[in-house]
Amino acid sequence: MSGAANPVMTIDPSQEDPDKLAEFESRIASGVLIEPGDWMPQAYRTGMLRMAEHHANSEIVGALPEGEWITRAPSLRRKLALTAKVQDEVGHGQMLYRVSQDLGKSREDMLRDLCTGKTKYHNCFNYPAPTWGDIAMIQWLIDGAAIMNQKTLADGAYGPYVRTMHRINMEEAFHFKSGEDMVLTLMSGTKKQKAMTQEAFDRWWGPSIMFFGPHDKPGCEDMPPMRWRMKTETNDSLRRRFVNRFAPAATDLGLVIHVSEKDEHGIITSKRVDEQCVPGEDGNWGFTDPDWDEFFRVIRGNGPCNAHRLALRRFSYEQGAWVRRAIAGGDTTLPPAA
Amino acid sequence: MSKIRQRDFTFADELPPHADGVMHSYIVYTARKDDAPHRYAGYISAPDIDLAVEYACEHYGQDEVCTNIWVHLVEDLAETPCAEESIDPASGTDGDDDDGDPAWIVFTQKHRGDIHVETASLHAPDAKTALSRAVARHGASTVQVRVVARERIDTTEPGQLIWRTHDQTYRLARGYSKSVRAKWAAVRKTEDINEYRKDDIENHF
Repeated sequence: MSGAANPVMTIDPSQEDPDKLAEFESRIASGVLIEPGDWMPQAYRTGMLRMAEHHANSEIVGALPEGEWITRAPSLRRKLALTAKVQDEVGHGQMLYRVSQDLGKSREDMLRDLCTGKTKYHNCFNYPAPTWGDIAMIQWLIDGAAIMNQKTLADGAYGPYVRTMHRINMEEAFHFKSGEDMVLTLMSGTKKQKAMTQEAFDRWWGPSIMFFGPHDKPGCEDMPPMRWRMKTETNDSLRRRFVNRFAPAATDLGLVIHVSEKDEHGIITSKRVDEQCVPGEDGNWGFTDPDWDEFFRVIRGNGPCNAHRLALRRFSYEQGAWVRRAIAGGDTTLPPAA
Repeated sequence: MSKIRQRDFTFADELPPHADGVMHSYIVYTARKDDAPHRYAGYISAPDIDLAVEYACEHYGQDEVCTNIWVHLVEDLAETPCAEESIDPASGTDGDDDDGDPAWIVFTQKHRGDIHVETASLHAPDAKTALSRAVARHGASTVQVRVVARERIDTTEPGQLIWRTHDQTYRLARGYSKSVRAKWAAVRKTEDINEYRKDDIENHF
């Protein structure tokens, strides 16, 4: 599952050399891709680093909820596919950390900053995946949202990130198709399977709508992230396209779109049908705005699984220390007991 | 859920120290057929080139059919600055290759944002001369030319099995396309499916 690279980002270009900045912006405006050897504003370098690092962190942490289900996949084929997917996601993390390294931060520092909570990862990975239906929904809805976002990021202006996005997207195609296959299979199954899928859909519809980040600020198209083509489409536009694609598909599948209330563990406590989620006269599907208080609460580290995800990542980092020492030729000791 | 994942984690205040030793950055290229050019795949971090090749086989050799992998240290390449539109071949100087000189592999990038692809090989006494000759011969219609000494590139063994030969359609989008299409067709109209599929990724492994 790929994380969207939509960290909340503030960039101040006022400290840059105005002539060089003007030339840089003119090149971007004419569609030139920026390669690592080119001059770039420090704010651009910092912004791209933050975006790529956030994305890399999301790939690594995103693999955790799915990794927990490898041993419980319902068939050998699903197990093989999920194992391959988790391997892909961690591989995406390694590729994106490389992009970030070239922008000036060491891989070790990035891994440590993730473990200590100094840097963030995508919000949607702080929700629980209690059933196999959740794994299907993550691959269909979250990977579907990620693909939508990453296709636009592949139209960005930073060459190394664009190249990496193209390669990642080529792998994402399998993740999404596999997810679709799982959802379609479950929804053509028994009553129990359909009920499990509906419950999982209820848990993931809200995080999917939030996936693209908060509402855009007025004039965001003229702000550096979009002016410099670090991102090429607004959060709200991506969200609208997502709903237009997935709401009718879910409805045709027999799923009901609900507005849900959750407890602190991310488990649904009440729900009602989202009556706004119908096609409008302009052809766009409506939807109830998600709970943005919840979004910011989770960003601040108070989501259902924030502590658990970070703890597991840190546990893996500490457990892997002896391997890194052995590979790097340093002192080795016996592996720690689990 | 496994017991490890159910446990409560408790940690000492500090993370373990950085591992001693140096990890190097390598560039990886893959080839889809025995006689196909090697194409840039990505980077890999490893303590030495032997492990870099092993890591590359797992990381970049399992996405699609792969018959050969090349790996070299980032520092081993010499390259031109990335041109805005295309390199002027006249900015290089051609000369006669001497087979006694080291061999160099030439990689070119057609457009900014593209990947580098193996284009040719040549002989030259040093990196500067190799790059100059590569620009003169292959610089036209490219934005960047790179050369790497052949002896600095490590490779998988000839005939080495990288991409496994058992059925791996479970890890390819095309392994699902037909059944997914059929299942959608059972619940949706053709025009709705086609509209929905517009956001699919067309280029995939």
